[in-house]
Order: sequence, then C-alpha cells, then structure tokens
Amino acid sequence: MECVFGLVGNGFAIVAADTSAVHSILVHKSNEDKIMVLDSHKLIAASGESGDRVQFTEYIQKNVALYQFRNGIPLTTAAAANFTRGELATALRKNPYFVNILLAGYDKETGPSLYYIDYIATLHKVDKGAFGYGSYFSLSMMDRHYHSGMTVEEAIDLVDKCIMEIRSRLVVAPPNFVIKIVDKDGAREYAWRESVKDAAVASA
Amino acid sequence: MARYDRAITVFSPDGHLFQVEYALEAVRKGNAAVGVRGTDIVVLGVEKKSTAKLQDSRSVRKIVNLDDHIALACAGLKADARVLINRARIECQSHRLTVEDPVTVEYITRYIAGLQQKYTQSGGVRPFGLSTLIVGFDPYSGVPSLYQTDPSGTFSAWKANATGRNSNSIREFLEKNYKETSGQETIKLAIRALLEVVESGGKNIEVAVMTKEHGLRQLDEAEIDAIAAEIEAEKQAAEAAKKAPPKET
Repeated sequence: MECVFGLVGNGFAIVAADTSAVHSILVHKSNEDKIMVLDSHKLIAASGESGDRVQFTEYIQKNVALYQFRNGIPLTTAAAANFTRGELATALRKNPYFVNILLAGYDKETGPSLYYIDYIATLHKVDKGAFGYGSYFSLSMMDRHYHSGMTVEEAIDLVDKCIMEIRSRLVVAPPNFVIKIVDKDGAREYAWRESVKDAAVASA
Repeated sequence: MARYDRAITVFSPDGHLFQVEYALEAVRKGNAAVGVRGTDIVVLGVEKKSTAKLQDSRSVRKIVNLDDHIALACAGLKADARVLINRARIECQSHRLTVEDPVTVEYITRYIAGLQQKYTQSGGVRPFGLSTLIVGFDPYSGVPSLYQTDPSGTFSAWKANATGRNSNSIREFLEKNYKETSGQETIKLAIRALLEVVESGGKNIEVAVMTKEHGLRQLDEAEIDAIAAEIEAEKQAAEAAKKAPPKET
C-alpha cells in the first residue's frame, strides 16, 4: 500500500512518497513524512514495516553523521548507499529489516544519483525507481514519459502524472504525497500533494 | 615511592595515585591550550609548535568538533586524544539516536571525564595523558559553556581556563584580565592570553571560534595575525601612555 518513487533529472533528483501511516484497517495519520534528510545533500525515501523504517533510517543517518565528524568530509551518495545495503545484508539472515529504500543524493563531482535498495539488500543505481503496489503504475508512467536530463518542471509534471495514476487506479490509494528534491543547493522539501486534509473539529 | 607507581590500582601510603599524577605531568609538557567563554561566543586557542617543513599542516588539527554544537581542544598525549575524541563522537551520535536530542555540553563532558576515570581504576591500563577543554552551546537554551577535564576524571565549568604548558601563567593573566565579553572582544582576550606564553604570530597559534548560528569556525592565519597586530598596537599605546603623562612643572 505504501507508494515510493523517484527519478533523476538535470542536476537534481526527486523522490515522492505517500504520507499515510496505516495499521491493518486503521489509518493512524495521513501526514507521516517518510522521506528523511540523511545529510545536507542526501534523501532517504523509505517504505515498509513502520518500526523498522524509522529505526533503520535513523541508524543510517547517525552513522553517516559520525563518518563526517570523524573524517571531516561527507560520504558520497554511492558510499552511503553501499553502507546502507551492507547493514541490510548483515541483518538479513539474523534479524532482517523490512524496509525498502530509494536513496537520492547530489555529489559535486558526479552530480545527482538515485539508488534502489530493497529489503533483501539488493542495490541498483537507477535513473528511475519505485516500490510498493504503486510501482505498477508509477514505473509504467515513468517508462512512457521519462527522458534523461529533464528539468524540474518536467519532472514534477511526471511525478504528478504518477500520483494521478496511483490515486485513480490503486484500490486503497493513499490520499496524500510529499515530494522532496536534492540538487547542488542541498536536500529540501519541494511540495505536498494533499487530497485529504486532517478534518477540523466539526461544530455541533 | 618507587614501589607505588607501578600499578595504577595501588594507592601510596600518603593517599596518592602516582600514575594519575604522572599523567598530569605529561599534560604539563603538552602544548598550551586556552578557552574563553563569552556571552554569545566561545573561543579555543592552541599553541602550534613549529611544524616541520615537509609536514602537511592541514592534517594536524588540534581543535576538533565532537558534534555540530560542541568542540574540543586538549593538551597532552595526542594519540590518547584521538581515542577519547572518537569515543566522544560516537557518544554524541548515539545520544541523538536513543533520545532524539543533541547532547548538552555538560553531558558529553561528564561522559569524557567518566571515561578518563575508568582508566584510573582498572587493572593493567594507564590513564589517558591529556586534559581537555570542551566548549559548546546548549542545544535548546543557547547558553554557551566551557568545561575542563583532566586525567583523574574530574571536571568543572569555567569562564576561562588554560591547560598544558605554562597554564598557570595564562590562568593568572586570565584572572587579572577576564571580564564578560562578546564577539570580537572574546577572541582578542583568548589570543592575548595565549600570546603571554607563545611567540607572537599566526603561525604559532591555532584559534577556533564557535557561535550558536555558525558552529565551529577555524580562524585562518591572516585573521589571527591581524588580531595579534591589534593587540600589539594596544599594548604599545598603553605603554606610551604610562611613560609619558604630561609633566606639570
């Protein structure tokens, strides 16, 4: 049910994730931010078991920060992705984490990049990727409309197309999405796409 | 006396732990380090013994940060410092992970001091041969702090302090000249204190400044030279004023 997808454009990478926190048939909240800012120029969009999602991504975030203090320079996106994958792999045959991750980052030397890391520690460097039931729709949409070197406007247009597709075609479609972007100026929130706001208390 | 300094776990009959005192001696031989707390800024200064010509001075950083809002300078055995700093950095991140809060300056000082104390009460190990000056800002209240630890594991907060070589003379100077300052004035006070025992010049001291907004910033040689020149000029002016008051006949 959790939808996460992302793509690489011209000098930036964009990731979008749904924002519903669900427990069986109950929606706890519909503004849960599942895209963590890993450091100044990296984003982790995670989906999966909610406890594992938070625990694992925070653990990665603190270790990435420690590396920076120890060595005086930040990890590259590729190094962070490999570290993340290594942690998943180590835990896999003992106590696996059920978290799927799209790691987007911008490095000065190599530009933007996107890494697909699934819960059994698969690692792929990709131009576009997606997880969850929503991936059936968003990957198809991106396969049709994606081309390399898209501008931010074109990329957001494509992201909106994917969100439209998910909303209209997925039976239990999440109502709200958050979009974050990372480029040479850093990682930051780009926009929210809300179709359901938390209802204000109705007057009697 | 010689029989009581072999193993750290042994007290001498007159209540000394000789290994700890010898560690303090090692600190006294280390480079001078000074820390000054201002109202909105904290300054650390460290003496830089002349670097060898072929050495890349950028790889020898004497003032390090433990977290975004905490920095440390030390005097004594630099290799011991590396180990302590590494443990402290891990603790800073571990604290953030478990309680979702950055450490306070007092917490990390207590942690480092606790570590130093542990090594005065174990078998087969020697104490860390360094004293640290730890500065930072409280993550929520924004209050600046300066703490000092030593090889025995004691720690306390200070308005200004020095450790390492000639620390007594620097501390005397600070006691005479300390007042609540902020910004540039605090930096000047720290450099003045350090220049009491170090040859003048940006080449011989390393100074770093921490503010709430910008974190730790190392001053470059040119900046330090400029401030040292200001200090020199002020000193000259003070001497001249003393020597030549208009003589009234």
